[in-house]
Amino acid sequence: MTTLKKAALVGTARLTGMPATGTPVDDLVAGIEGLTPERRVLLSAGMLSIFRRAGYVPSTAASLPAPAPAETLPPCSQGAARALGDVFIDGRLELLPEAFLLLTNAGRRVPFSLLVDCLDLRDPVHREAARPVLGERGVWLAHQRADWGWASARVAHEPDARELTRIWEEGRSDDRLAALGRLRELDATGARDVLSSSWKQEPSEFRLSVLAALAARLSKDDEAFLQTALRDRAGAVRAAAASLLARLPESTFAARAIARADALLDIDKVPPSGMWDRLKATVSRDDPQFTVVARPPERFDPEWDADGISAKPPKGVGERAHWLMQAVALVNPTHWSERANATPFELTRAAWRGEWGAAVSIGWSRAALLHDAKDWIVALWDSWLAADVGADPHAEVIRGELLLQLFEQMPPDTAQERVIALLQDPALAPDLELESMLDRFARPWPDALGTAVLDAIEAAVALGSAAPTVQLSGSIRAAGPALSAGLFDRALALASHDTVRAIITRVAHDFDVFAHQIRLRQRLHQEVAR
Amino acid sequence: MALWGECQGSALYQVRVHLPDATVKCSCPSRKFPCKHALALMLIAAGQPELVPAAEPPPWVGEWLAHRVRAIEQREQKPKKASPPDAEAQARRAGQRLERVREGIEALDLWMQDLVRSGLASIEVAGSSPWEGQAARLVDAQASGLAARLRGISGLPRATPDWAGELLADLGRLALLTHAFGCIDDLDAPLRADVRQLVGWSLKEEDVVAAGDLVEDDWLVLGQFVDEDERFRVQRTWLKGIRSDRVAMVLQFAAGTAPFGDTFAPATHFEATLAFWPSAFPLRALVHVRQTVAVAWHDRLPGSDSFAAFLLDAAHALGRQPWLGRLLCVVRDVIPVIGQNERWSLVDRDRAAIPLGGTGTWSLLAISGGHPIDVAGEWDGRALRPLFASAWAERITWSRPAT
Repeated sequence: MTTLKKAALVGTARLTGMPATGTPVDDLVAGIEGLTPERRVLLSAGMLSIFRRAGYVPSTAASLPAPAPAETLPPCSQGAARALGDVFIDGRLELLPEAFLLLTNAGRRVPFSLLVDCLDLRDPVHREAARPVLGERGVWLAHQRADWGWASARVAHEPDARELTRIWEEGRSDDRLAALGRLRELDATGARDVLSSSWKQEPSEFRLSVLAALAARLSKDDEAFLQTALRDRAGAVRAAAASLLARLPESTFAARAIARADALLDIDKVPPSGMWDRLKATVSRDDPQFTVVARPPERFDPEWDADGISAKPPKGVGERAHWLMQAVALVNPTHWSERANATPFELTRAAWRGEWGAAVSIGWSRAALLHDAKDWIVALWDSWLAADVGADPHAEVIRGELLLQLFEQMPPDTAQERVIALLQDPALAPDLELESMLDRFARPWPDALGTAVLDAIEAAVALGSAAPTVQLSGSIRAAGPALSAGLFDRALALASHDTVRAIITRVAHDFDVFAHQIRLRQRLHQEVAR
Repeated sequence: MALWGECQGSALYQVRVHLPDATVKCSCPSRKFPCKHALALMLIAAGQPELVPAAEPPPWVGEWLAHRVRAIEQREQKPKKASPPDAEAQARRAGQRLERVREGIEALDLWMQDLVRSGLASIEVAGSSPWEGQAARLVDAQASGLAARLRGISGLPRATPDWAGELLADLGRLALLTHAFGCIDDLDAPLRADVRQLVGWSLKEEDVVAAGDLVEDDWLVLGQFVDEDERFRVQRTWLKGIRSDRVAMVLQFAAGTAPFGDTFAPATHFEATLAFWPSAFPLRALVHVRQTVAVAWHDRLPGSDSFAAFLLDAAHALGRQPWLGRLLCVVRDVIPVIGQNERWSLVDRDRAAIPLGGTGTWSLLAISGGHPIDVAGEWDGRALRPLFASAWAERITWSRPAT
């Protein structure tokens, strides 16, 4: 072909004589009369290509790779394989952890035909769930491709301190953050040392994110470094360092913070003054035993700036309230219950009776979240739900955010009680994002929670066009991957409710996804058990 | 004969069905046709006729019915006006078409010769518009087969390192085709049929059946590929007869996202009579009569035991019909191997290796695990593209356990 190709590339116009192929094709073409040189090149090339194709000779494989070892687990049934395949095809990856767990518990593995889909998974949660069901074949296959390396070992590879330090020194910022976080778990002091060694060269945004890594295993040893960070150029970094220092009870910073806040809050026990007060207290069950009187600062003390307190309030917040909130937020709230010998429930309610109720409650809420003071978190959630903040637009905005954060950090049992109460009476907090609240619970949900959610959906559906669309949608979306198997039948009956589908198209779509998820999960449960 | 009714949707809809030709009209705004209101009405009439009492049509139904009846009468009169088949006129039209095709081919030959005279290297700057223009002329000349072939070639320049070699080979085969057309009367009847089809004469399905190459067999569906165009999709399904060992390729066309007319589930088999297009190496076929429904196939694949055996068959096929593009390759006990730079190959029990192409290679490796498996694929003379469907994957592994 080469001589022909050359002739065709440069053009026969520049050629003298006919290029020969040195094959029987030459004689064949010569036998055709009246051909132009161009036509002869074309016909020769055509014939030669057909000859080549007919005479194709395979190459010889030098060696074959070692085959995969025999499996130790049986494959899942064909029905289970089809159901799992549909999870991938339909893009319902949120159901994968459950599907893999079912297979793991049944002692089965995924079929060979789904291994590529499994190895291509990106989400670390999905990967860890898949690991036990990949089988010998999956591990063998993972060795063949660099981006499947995560699955080439039976257990996740845990890099040691030296490897983590290398990633910290050479990696990209996401990897560096993750490496520092893991190093902190392995070696708290070592992590702080590598962090402080490059601290000054890091950009301010990165300094802010790495400080968060020190929150884990925080100890008195970190105080000196945090003091450096407290003098950072960036205000956000100073504030983050202040939050960490505030969590070290023996630090001079914490002592300063307590002294500062003590001057701002007076908590007193008020004895019931007479019969009338006592009677009122008993009837309203709101026993005014305590008063919380806030005395927000008149002026900004320049020294506070060094403790991460900002002078300038955000829009819509008064200066004095802003300073008060920040000062209170740095102090562990158990300090107040101990000082006044009162429960968090009594104090949080008393705060709302005072003039600066919202500011104190915001400060306490941030403090409770920062110090993870569980009984305060629950008490504050209740007080925010009961509080009337209508007069203060800033507090109203903040209320929703704080409620969600308090809910996140609430102990699971209490959180379940509180969300069930909300489900039973949606008017309690009509503006809360139910979906994200429900998503905090481990799947599958306890039956009590699942039943409450289905009850709420049923009640909303009964309202027809008056149904609270956002809350209804949120409940439906959260419940699809989370309901326990015992509730599948009831869920499917509910999802086929025609009236509400016809009225609210958005809910109709959510119901379609919901029913799809439940049916897929039902198939997975049945087929794996088979 | 009509059905009508009123249905309370977002508004009150008037639904009419003319039963003789099942045309419907409804005042709803649905773009689906027939709409759900009409379907519901027909379902009620079919399932619970007692709910549909006989009555005189109200005016809103009567007017529409009268309109329908007029339309049907006009349609039935039309064919009567057309003149009966006139053998002389048909022959004249066939002659005119032949002349147009000859002229088109003459222009194509000249154009190809010009390309070779001035050199393929000059195409590099010319771009694709001359190809499109030439293809359009062939369409006008009613040589759509040649036009499609030319469009296929037009993507080659500068596409691969050896584009010049591939381009010359494809142009050469095209030139061989026009050469064959020039002496078509000297060819055997089957090859003559091939050349005519390759140039652009198409056969109606009833003509294919009438041509008489009917094969009754137990047909195994090995898989299919779908090629997508902007406007329509072409599905290529490969079948193999268990008893006759014959290979059949069924082409189906669908516009946009419409489904294909017939369903061929991979890894199933069914008894049927297939009608093959006349050819020196009959490959394209249509399902004339299905005798049984398709059921799952659980046996090993019927195929060659080595690439040498398959390639010998392929050479014989090319000897009979040199323009064959894709061939079905079924080989048993082969191992997919991933080489340097993800250069895949398939290795048979004699260690003969051919390149593996397409997208299903990793799944093939997952299923094989380095052990021998049976593979069916499409061979284009360069690489084997595994016929891959997820349903197939479960059953493709009739491998013997490694020993």
